[in-house]
Amino acid sequence: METRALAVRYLNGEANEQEVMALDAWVRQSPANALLLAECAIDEQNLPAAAKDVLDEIEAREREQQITPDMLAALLPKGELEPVDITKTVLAQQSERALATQREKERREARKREAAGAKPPHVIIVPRPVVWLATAAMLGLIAWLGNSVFTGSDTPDTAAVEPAALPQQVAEVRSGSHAVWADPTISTDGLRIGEEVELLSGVAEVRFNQGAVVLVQGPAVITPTSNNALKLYTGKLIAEVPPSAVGFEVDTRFGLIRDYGTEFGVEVDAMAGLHTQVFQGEVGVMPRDAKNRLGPETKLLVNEAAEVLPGDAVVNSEAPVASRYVRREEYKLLTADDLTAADRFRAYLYELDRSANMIANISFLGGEMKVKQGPAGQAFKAEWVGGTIVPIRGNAQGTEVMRLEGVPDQGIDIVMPTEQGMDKLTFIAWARVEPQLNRTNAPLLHHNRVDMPKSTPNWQLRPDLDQIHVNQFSEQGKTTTRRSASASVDGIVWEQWHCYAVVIDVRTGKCEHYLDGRWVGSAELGQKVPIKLDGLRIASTGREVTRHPRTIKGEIGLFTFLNTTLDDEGIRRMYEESRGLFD
Amino acid sequence: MSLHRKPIHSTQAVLDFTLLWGKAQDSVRAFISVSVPNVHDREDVLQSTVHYLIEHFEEYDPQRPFVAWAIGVARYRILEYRQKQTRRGRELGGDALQMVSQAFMEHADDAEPRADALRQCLQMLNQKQLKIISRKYYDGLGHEAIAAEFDMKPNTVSVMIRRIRLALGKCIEARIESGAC
Repeated sequence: METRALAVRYLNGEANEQEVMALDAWVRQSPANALLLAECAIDEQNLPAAAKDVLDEIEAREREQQITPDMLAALLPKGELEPVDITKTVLAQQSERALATQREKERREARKREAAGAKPPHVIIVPRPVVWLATAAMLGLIAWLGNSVFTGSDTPDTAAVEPAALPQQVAEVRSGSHAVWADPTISTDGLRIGEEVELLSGVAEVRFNQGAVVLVQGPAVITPTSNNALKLYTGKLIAEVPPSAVGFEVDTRFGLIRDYGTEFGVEVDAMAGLHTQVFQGEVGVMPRDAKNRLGPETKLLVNEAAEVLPGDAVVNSEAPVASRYVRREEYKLLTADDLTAADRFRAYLYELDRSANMIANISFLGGEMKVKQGPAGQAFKAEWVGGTIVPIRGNAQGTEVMRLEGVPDQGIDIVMPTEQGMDKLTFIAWARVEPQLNRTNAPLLHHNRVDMPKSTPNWQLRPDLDQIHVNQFSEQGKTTTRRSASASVDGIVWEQWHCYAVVIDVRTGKCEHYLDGRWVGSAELGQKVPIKLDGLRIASTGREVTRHPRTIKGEIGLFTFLNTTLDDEGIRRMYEESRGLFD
Repeated sequence: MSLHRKPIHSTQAVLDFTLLWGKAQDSVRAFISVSVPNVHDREDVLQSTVHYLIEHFEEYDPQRPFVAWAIGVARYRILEYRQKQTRRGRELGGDALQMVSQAFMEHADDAEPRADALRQCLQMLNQKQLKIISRKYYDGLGHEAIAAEFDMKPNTVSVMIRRIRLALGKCIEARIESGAC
């Protein structure tokens, strides 16, 4: 994140704990950083009143400019519209310039329409004397009101300016529907030299005319600087450079990376500096000093990585991390038109590897989740309609580590492992639930482990009519216990998408509940209550009282599970980032 | 707050204080905003600082910059405030606070040109951008409320505000550097 943006978030009380820590460390790095924060605070202090003042001024000016001759005629007493020698007044000259500008603008638009073969719009021709009269009347009113708005020497905003020649197109953009641009109207035909584009999320492919192909990973901001170079302001990218484009350059504020025929990744972060990693071939890295001068080139070979820290201007060797960048294979998985569940699952594994705190992040969008009954007495399996699979992942030891299970009319269970002793959890789920008759008490989401001792607690998140329940199940010997925490929630609308989230600190038993990004209440896990269960299988289906299977029917859109606690802002951001999928 | 304010003893002293405080207050407010995360508590700390400055105005050495004295006082008020807090918020640590206060003291004269530059830069925004910034920072509306008013998605509002803020920051720096203010 840009340092200034981080400072602004902090000053507005919007920064989370990690961000404040990062800002603190950054301020302590140098007096210049402390000064930048001080300047941000002064701007922040001045902004509310200044913005309001400037807006008020502009609106007042606009109201005055909207006075028409008709309004004027209605306002002025008859006989006061005396002829004025407008050629002798400054006001008149300005008004004349404005009229001339307007006519020039109309002529330009007419030329454009003609060029495009469009019919000109219907034009009412007003006799020139009428225009002069109206102008004179307008001037009279302005003088009468004692207004000084037009007394400045600035020409109006509409002054005729000939359009400059557009910079050369040097690259084209290809992106799937998952890529979100800050400017949704971005032209994919051609990126021009100097054109700054911001990718908010997703991955987009930028193909340079000379042959280099760049996979930009959002959030990122880039600008092509030639047909074989770009500037990366922030974010990550992978550059694939064929022989025709050897010498391709990625410039950043912390240094410049020059390719020698290769595939390499670059990441720029205001706080962390520059990181680069070579996947094939060779690159040269030149750090920038505080005066923006490039330092000596350090060569990196395949499987080597390096970083340049802010203010350091030195290339430090780093251990490469294979999953740090989105490479071609993952990009293909993300953008495939007919994404199978297997593709989705493989893409999901990439993302999981990249996110230190993320245990699961599963999107069920793009395919309908259907619950299918298994053999009698056995678990039920979930499948995506249209061909699919129950995704089961084996880790290096061949242990099953994740499983999706569906139970008819009881939603979907998501079963996965956690680390032993994990004491901070965050569930976030987009779900649409509907009650089944009077049965309203089954889990929609459930978390437990399948490859660890059963004494490890497992979790259940369950939306109810007007409450969200969290249950922690533990099994010790033959006894299974449950601890529950419930928060009353106003605003759940059945059959509509909602984002349910709960943050749990296992040590204190405190649960913070959120609905649609807003905090709705906290609750503490209660005492352990023994329950009748037939092992975890039954616990995981929520059939706590087997004679009365209480059910909820539902659909899950997105499920994320973190082994850390997010704060209010973190939850809100997760909600904001994903809500577009469910609007 | 029950502080016993001693009067400033002469009319001249009142005028002096008013003049000096008028110039320093933006920097002091800004410094407090960096150091106190809770918006409501900021006002308390500011009040406490002003009370102290008035009470001890006779101790102020006119040879020293007033703003440096005021920020030094504010810094102690902030430390007192932090000691009283039972639950610490998300805030900068003592070392960072010291460095920021130093920056405020050394660059107090920059506050006014920055304010001028900000106004000029705001005039370069279009009306919709200005309205959104005004709704956010003057009226204190959330992104959802702004989005509803302008028929936008909250995410878009958030992105737009972030981009405007970055653009304003760059514009102010450019104007200060070029001496345009």
